[in-house]
Amino acid sequence: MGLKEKTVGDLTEILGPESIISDDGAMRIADPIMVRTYAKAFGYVPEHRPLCIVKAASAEQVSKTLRYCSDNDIHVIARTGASSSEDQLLVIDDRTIFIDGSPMNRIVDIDTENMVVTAQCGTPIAALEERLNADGYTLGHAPQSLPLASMGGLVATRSTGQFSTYYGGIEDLVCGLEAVLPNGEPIAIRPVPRRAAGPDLRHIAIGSEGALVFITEVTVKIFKWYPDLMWKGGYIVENFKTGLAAVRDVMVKGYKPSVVRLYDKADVDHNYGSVKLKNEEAFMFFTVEGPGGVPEAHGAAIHQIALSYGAEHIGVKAVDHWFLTRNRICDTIGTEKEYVKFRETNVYNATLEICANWGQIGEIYDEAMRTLPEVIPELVMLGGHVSHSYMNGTNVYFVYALKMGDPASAHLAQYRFVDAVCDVVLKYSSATIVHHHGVGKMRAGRIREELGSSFTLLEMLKQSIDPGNIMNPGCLIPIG
Amino acid sequence: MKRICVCFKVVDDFDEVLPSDWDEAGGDGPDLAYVRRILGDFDEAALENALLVKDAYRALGIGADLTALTLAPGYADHILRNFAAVGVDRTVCLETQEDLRFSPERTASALADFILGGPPPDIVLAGLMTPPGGSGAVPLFLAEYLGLPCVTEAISLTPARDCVAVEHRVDSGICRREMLTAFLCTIGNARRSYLRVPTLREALRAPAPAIEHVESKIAGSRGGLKPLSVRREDRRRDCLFSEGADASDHAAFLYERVIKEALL
Amino acid sequence: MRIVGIVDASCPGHGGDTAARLMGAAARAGACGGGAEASLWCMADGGPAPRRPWPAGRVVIAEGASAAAGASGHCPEAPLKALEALVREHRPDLLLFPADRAGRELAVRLSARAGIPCSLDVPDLAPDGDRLLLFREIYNGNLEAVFPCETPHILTLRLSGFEPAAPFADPEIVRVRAEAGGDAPCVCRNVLVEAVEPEKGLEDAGLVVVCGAGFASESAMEQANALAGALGGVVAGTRPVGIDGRVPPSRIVGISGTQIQPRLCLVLGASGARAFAVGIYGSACIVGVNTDAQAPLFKSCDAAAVCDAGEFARALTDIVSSKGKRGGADARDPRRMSQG
Repeated sequence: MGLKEKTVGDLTEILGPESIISDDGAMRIADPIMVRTYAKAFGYVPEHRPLCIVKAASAEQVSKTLRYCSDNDIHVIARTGASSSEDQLLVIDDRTIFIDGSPMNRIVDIDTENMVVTAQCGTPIAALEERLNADGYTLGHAPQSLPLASMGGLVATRSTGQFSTYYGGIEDLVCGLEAVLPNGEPIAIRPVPRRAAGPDLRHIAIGSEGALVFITEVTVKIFKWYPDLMWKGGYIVENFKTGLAAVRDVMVKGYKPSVVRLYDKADVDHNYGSVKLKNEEAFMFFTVEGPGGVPEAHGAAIHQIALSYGAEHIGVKAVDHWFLTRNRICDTIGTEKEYVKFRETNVYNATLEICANWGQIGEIYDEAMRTLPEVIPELVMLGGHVSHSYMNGTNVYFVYALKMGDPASAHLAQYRFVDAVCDVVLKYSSATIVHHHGVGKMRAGRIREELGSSFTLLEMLKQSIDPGNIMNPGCLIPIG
Repeated sequence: MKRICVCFKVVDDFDEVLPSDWDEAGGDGPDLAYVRRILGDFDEAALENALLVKDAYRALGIGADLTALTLAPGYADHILRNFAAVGVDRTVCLETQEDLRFSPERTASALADFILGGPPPDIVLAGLMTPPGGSGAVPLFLAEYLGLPCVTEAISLTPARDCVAVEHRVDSGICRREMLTAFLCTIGNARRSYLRVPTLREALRAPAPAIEHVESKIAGSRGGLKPLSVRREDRRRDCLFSEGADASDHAAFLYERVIKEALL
Repeated sequence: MRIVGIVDASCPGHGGDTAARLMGAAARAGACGGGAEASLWCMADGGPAPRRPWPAGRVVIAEGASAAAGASGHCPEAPLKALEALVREHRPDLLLFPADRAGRELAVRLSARAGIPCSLDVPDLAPDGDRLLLFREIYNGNLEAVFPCETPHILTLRLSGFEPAAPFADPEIVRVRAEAGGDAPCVCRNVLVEAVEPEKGLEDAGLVVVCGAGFASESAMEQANALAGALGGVVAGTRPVGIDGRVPPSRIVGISGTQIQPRLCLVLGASGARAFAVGIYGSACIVGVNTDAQAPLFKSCDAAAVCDAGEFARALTDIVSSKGKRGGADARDPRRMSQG
């Protein structure tokens, strides 16, 4: 009996036939999105397919499945919204199953007295946010993948949202969680306002990308929502460097706009086209949220800071356009429309996010913009924007497009681009090669350099929690 | 040397206009200040098919020169700057301050005036239709003003040494004809609809994208129509959302409440 | 006012209903000013004169003037030359064409040759005292504009908004012989027309399943066809779906395609952008399915489900098949109309 037949048979016996999907068609499309969809457009057949997909409807089912996989050396990829972008969901061998937590989509509890919500891992964030908005609350977490993503995956990838400068990244929002260890043992980290009982164990799960545990339920903060009080301001600045200085000033002075974004012309033209910029100019905008008085006061101060850097105030219309179109990319991902464009133009659009402190981010941006076109012949466009800022630094989100060759090996061009960016970034002491998309399999090869001597801690965690290396091998930590 | 001229239009992406701007739109249309500028769908196909024709001539060992011609493109550098890199030999922007939104004959007149002022083209291509008027009239007027036979809704063009084989849609199906003389062709839902994209290196190696701006002389004919009024019709319906735990429930709900009756 | 409706007998879409609606539009236009004199001009091939109930008191049959009459198989020069001559002779105030492929080309080119302004794709017109007003959708159907119509004027009309005129018992039939038309042999050769879309278009479909970009994979189209089959309807697509070849151009719904008027329109996986929504406004009942609860589509729907379109299609197919129901009679089925 082959491995697939045995695994499917055993899991069917444990969970019931309605929980197992194993037909060839479903296995063929189980591949992750992003660069693999480019290959799919040309009829790419994945080299490796999962043995089956387990649709887990409860933590107990996750537990039983993981226990089985641990006992039988079956590898597991955790999946909910399937919107990750760094090949987290890429199947790399022939003994892997997906545990799909999307049936676990219940909002367990909304506690407005204590300002937390508990939701299962498969709860679509868009549905949860809509539910909260109806009552005047918000998660404060709005990734560009909002139309597609689910809570479990967002926590697992340590994601950040478009309003993170004010509300924080997911790591600031998670109060507690429940998960299942690779051996099937369930664990729970109770949600408390703060705890000093040793290292913060939440952070073993947050950002673990399915390589350590399977997250089954999360409790996150919620916030009062004041959409009608939002302050917005759009500006054109002389150049990207000036914009960086202005953004830094805003952050260092202590303001926390919910959105702070700075776009170079290439990015604006390619992705939005909403602001007509001259050659070196950059588009910068802010939003401020909060209770009465705060948005206006902070907005007025931010406005003065922007003007002090020679920025031209262009009002709010461009910001409104950004709100309207910010997640539109989700409408075409994986659709036939996208496939036709791939087949006709051979152009694939992608992004890569890095982060560094204020003193180095400008240099990193300049060096990347100068060197990447030289080392990546397939580059069709390259631009960047700032989208998540901190007291001590900010990110840069490179947006780029590659003209691909042979579809089956197209991903290699993207991997080379990623490596080229890592080559630039890793020269800078304050920089990280990954801001919020996660390492996945795409950047796993550079994780040792990224973490330096602290990589040993990650290895130890992996070895003690997942000694059999069944949890998404190759993701986060490279094989070998 | 074969001369190809492709007429195209840079338009606003109306899918990105704020709903409030549609509601407030008057005779001058909505506020488009921060709306993305794009190539009209059919015009993008026309550009790509013009390049394919040029490629085909080159493969036959016949020289071909391609001019891309547009009228008042506005903010369009991000679109036009790659034209030279993909094989457009000359990009010409006719400039005018006139409101030509609903004046296809004057638009065509401006294009024809420019084309007739130079060596006669062998093939003139244009997209089937573009917004905001979206009437599809400009290429047809242009064919008349240039005195060229007109082939509409082409799917593909294949040059040969003594003719150009054109496949195009007609009411009864697909028509194939071999054009022996200069002609104008509108591009509809063609087999190739997206414009090729150069790499950054190809763009750097290409000749500098010299985009010519030419003041357009528009014949003062009857003039274009101006709307007396403009409004946004509210076509909203009261939508009954189905209730159910899954798609099967939704289907059952809608079948009982709505669909069954429509099938009677 | 002298008003003329123009059809080409060789165009599949220019049958009796088209002529009747053109004359219905003529009647509406003629209500302005001091009344009107309406005629129908029919571009015919050189064969026996078409016999039909004519919806006009005066019919001019231009023999040898249809686009199919020329030696080059399909050639608008033949009707154009005939129309130029007729316009010179009769000097009509309004010339009405159907807003289809043939009508657009003839209208515009005649406009250029005769020096008469034209307005295209007019879904409605109305008399306003002594003048005529034209209604047009602009900006991809996002706005509706009213234009004044000076005469003489050429219009192409979206005929679904006009009532068909009743046939005349004893119309005056005038036959004229067109000049030899067609492209000169030096213009083109080897003209072949391959009929590849024999099925009728969407105009008369009583039930339409429309697939949007979110439901257009190969398996999705199979499901859509199965569902349409069970319901007794036809499958159509939004423009992106048509561009991708999933549906033929005759099955594209929207401002650049067909505007449909079925009793039931099921829209699966389309966002509902205005350029598409314009195509379904005429539906009696619109049901939309999309995973995005905020999809603009739902504003145009009478009923909707927020769920996966594929799963919905499968479930609905099973339900309908198990009930053994098939609907989908023509939108204008007279039996249904008589039942009120």
